[in-house]
Amino acid sequence: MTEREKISKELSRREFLKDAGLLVGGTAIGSTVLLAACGDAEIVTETTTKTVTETGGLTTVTTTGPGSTETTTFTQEISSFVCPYCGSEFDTLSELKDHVETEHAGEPVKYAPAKFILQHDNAKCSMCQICASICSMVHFDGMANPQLGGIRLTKADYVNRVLEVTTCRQCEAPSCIQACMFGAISIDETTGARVIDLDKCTGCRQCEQACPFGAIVFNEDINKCFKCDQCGGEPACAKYCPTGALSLVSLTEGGA
Amino acid sequence: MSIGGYAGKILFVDLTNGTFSDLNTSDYTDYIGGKGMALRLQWEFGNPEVKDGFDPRSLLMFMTGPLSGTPSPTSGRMVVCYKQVANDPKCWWSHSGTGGWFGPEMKFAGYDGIVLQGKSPTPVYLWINDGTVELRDATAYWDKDTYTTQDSIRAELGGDTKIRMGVIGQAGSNKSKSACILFDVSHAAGQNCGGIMGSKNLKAVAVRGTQGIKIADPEAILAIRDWHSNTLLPVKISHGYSCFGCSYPCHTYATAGKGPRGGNFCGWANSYNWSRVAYLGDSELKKTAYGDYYLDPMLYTSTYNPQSKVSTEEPEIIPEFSKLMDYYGIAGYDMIGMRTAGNWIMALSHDPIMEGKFMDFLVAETGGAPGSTTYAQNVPRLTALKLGKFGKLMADGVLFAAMELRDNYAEYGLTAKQGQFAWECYERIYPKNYAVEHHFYRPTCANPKWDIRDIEQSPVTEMLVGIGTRDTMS
Repeated sequence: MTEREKISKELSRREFLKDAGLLVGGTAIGSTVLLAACGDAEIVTETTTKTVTETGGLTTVTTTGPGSTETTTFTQEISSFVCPYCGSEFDTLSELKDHVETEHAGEPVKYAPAKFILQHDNAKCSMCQICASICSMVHFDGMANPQLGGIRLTKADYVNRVLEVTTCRQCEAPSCIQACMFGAISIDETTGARVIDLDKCTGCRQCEQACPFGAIVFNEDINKCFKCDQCGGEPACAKYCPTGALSLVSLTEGGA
Repeated sequence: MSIGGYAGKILFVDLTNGTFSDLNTSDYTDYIGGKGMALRLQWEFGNPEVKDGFDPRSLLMFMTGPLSGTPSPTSGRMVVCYKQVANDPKCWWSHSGTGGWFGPEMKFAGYDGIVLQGKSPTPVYLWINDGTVELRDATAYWDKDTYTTQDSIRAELGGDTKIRMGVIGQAGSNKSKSACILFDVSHAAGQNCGGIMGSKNLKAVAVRGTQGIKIADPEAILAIRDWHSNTLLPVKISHGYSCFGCSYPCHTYATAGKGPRGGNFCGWANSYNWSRVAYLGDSELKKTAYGDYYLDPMLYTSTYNPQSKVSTEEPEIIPEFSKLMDYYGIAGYDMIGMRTAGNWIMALSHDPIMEGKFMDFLVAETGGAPGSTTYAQNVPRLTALKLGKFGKLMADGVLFAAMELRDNYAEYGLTAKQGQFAWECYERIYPKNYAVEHHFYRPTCANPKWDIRDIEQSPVTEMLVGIGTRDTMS
C-alpha cells in the first residue's frame, strides 16, 4: 500500500551514551515521510516520533491521510539499563552513563563469540520460502508471513534464478547490540546467538538501521524488531528446509 | 483477518465501470477451497443467461484455498474458475489449477480471490499492491507476448522482482479458445481461459503483498511437513526452483528414486519427468540450446506428454516448442491446446483416407511436415496470431478444427476424444456432473498403486464415460 522510506540518524550505542544527556526527555528522532499511494490521487503523510525518557521509550506514529488523522503511541517501560562492557544493570540512563565513563573509559567492548552460524547454500535453495514462512509462524503465534521471518528471501528472480537469502551472520562485534538503547539484544549463553528480547524491545528500529546486512526486520503488527534467534539451537527453518539448503554449522568444533 | 487460513477479503472487479468492491471471505468459507467458493460466487453473481465465457457478464475468478500461501506442502496452488468457451455443444463450468507464486502473493496482498466481471472499454491490467487496487492502461502491451508484457509491466511498476503476474499472450488477446493464462514463467491455467481474459480486455493481473496469513494450528502444519519430508522424499536434492511452499521441485522427483507416479504434490510431477526422460534422455536439469532465458526446467506444456510428437527430427526442438507456447500464451496441457493437437495433426496427416491432402496443406502453410523443425517453430506463431488458413483452423483447438474438417470429424474427433485424454475425467469433458470428478476420479487416482497411465483401460473410465455421455446427451 505504501512504500516506506526510513529517514533516521545513525546512532550507535556509544554515540547514544555520549549524547545521552541531550537526549533524555527530548525527542530522539523525528521523521516525516511523504508516501504516495494510488498514483497521484492521495498523499499519505506518516510521522514517527521516538522519545527516550529516563525510564523507557516512547514511540508515536501519526498517519495523516485524506480526511483522517490517526495517532498511535507505544510505550515501553524499561526496568534496567545494561552495561555493554560488563553486564551490570542500572536503574537510570545517567547512572549507566556515569558507570561507563568511570569504569570503562577507552575500553573496547568484547562480545562472547557465536557458537553456531546458520549457513545457506544458494545452489541447493529452491526459493520456496518455507523457511521464512515457518520462522514467522513459530515466532509470531501462527502468523505465517515470509516477509517477517528471521530468514528471508530478499531477492527472488525466478526467471534468471537469481536469489539472495538474508539472515543474521552473528557478527563478532554486533552493531545491533551497540545500537540498542534498551539492552534488548543479548547473547544467548547456550548458542551464542545474538537474540532480541521482545519484552524489552521498544520498536525504535535502531538495530534495524544499524545492521549492515538488513538481517533485522520490523514487525508493525506488534511494534517490535525481530531477528534470527537460532530457535535455541534447533532452527525450525533448517529442520523444515525440504532441499537441505539450510544448516546450523558449529563454529567452535573446527567448523567454518 | 480473524479466520485462520484466509486473508479475509475477496476482490470483486467490475471491469465495465472500472469499480472495485470487497466481499467478506467469511461468507463463503462453508464452501471449502477455491473451487468451492467460486461455485458459490457463480451462484450469487453469475447470470444464468450467459451462454459462454466470452459473454461480458461471465465471471472469471482467481481463487485460493485456506492452505494457499501457508507453510503447508504445495501451498503455491491456486485455481482459475470460469464458464467454458470450448465445450460442444454446451459450454459448462470449468476450472484450471496452477502452481507458482501468484496465489500466495495474492493472499499476502490481502485477497483470497479476485472475481472479474464485465468488459473494460480499453485494454487494461489490474494492479493489486498490498490491498490497493488499480486498473492501469495496457494498450501498449495488448499485442505483446507473455514475457515482454511481464517485463514491461514489472518495469512500469518499479521493477520489483517479487511482483507476481498472470498474463495472456497474443493468443489470449486474439480471443483464441486455445489460449491460456500464463503465471510468471512456467505456470499456466489452460482449459481455454486465456481467451476469456482477452474478451474482458484484461491483459494482466499483477499482485504484490507483504501481509501474513494466520495459522490456527501451527503444530499441525509442522506435523504435516514432518510427515511429508519423512515419508515422501527422504533424499533431499534440488535444482532450479520450486513454487511457493512446495517441498520439492517437481522435476527432481523421479531422480529421487520414487519413479513416475501421480496422485500427490500438484499431481503432475510424474508427467514432467516422463517428458524429460523421454526426450532429453536424462533426469537431471539440463539447459538446452534453446530458451536458456525463459525455458522452465519443468518443460511445461507440450513436452509433458511423451506422445506429442511435435518433432521427431530434433528432440531438443521440444523445449523450444514449449517455450514458444508459453511465449504466445497457448495452452499446452489442454483439451484443445496444442499438445493434443500435435497427436491429432500427426494422425490426420498420415491417414490413408485423407490421401496426403492434409499433409500437403500443412507443408504449404507451416513450411514443413509434422516432425520437422520448421513445423515446430511455426505452429505456435501461426496459431496465436491466427495467421493463414492453418492459424485460423487451429486457433480454437482440435475440437473446432475437427468440426471444420467435418468429413472426418466423427473418426478423428473420437480418436482424439475431442482432444482430451481419457484419464483427464474432469467435468470439463463430462461436464454435466461435477460430482463425477470427486466421487470417482479423485479417489481412484489417489491410489498410489494405480499407475495413471493405465487409467484409459480402467473400468472406472468406462463408467465415467457412460455417466458423462448419458448426462450430456440428455
